Amino acid sequence: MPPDDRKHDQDLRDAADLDEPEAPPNEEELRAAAALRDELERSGPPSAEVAWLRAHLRLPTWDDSLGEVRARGLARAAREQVQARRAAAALLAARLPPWRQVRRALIGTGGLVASATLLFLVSSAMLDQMRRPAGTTPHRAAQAELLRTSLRLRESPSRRLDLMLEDRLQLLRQSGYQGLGRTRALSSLSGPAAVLARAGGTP
Amino acid sequence: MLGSDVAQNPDIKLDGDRQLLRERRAIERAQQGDLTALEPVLAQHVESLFALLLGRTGDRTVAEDLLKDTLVMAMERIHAFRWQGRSIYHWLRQIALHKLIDHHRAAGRRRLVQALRAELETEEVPSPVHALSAEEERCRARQRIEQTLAAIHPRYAQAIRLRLCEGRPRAECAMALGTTVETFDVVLLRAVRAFRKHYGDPDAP
Repeated sequence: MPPDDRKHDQDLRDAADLDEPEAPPNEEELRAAAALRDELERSGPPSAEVAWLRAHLRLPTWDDSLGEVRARGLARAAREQVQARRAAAALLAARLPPWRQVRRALIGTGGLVASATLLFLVSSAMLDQMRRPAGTTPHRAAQAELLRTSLRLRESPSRRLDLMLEDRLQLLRQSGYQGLGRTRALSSLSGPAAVLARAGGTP
Repeated sequence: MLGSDVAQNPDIKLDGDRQLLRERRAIERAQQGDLTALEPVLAQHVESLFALLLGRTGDRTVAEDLLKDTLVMAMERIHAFRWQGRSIYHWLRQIALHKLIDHHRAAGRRRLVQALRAELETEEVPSPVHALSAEEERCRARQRIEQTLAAIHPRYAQAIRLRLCEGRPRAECAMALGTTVETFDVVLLRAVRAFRKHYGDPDAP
């Protein structure tokens, strides 16, 4: 149905809510009214619309009761159903050998969630490893040595920070980052990266 | 209404308290593993639950199916029930309404689902401890119909009452509304659409 027709029909439906019960009907309403009339007067199985109306306009009465016997029967049936389910589950669990019980646990919801979590952690670790620049791990050992030396010499914390920064800058330069220059103050610093830079002839 | 009767008659209150005590003991036994103890408690509330479900579905078969599902879930989850000083009926009623929500959701009746959810969230606590009787549930169902009819145009409500509730012939209904039979057919169509829309039925044409 084209969008304009749908809007038109919606307008018609909205008109039903307005205080205009006697407004002149259009073709669609005339057709629908005739269909409803025929459905209400038909004696066979009701249409969906008529069934809905009869169901929701049905005023309940005290005749709509189940009776005490039926009520007890329904309660008993519910209890039997639950007990039967529990017995069947217990029997099934008892029959399985231990390895199958473990297998069922693994392929069960908990096992799948645990596997997904493990996969996530492994893939995160691998991606993290791939993102690190080359030489990171050996560099950390050198950095640790730098810190130990500075502590042994009892240098000030600000000096240690300068050493760490210079070392980090050297690492970045070695990995190809060209945007950094050297200042005179940094030139005077010593450290493993600075030593490597001097050995490589990099100013 | 049970609530007003309880307030006025101390004997009823005493019986009600004894009933609550019996319920509580039966629930404790059921939670310890003896589900047979819960049978009479559930059986006692079956009529009220059925009246609730029948009033919301209008279909006896559907109401019975939902009632069975409610009872089974109550049996399965009795271990999760916490005694709060009032009848277990209110807990059972919540289960029944959730089953009804599932039923309407499966049929795509979004507005009815929303209406039921809103009702569950805003449901006031009835007579503090005692269960609702089947007649009280039927009263609520009748009230719902009356509220919907009151929300639509009075002429629409009259057309629905005459033709659908009372089953009068078209000609008689048209005469009562002071119009022709053909015009009455259109008025009834509009009335039905308005009723379904206000009742919360998304399938309303």
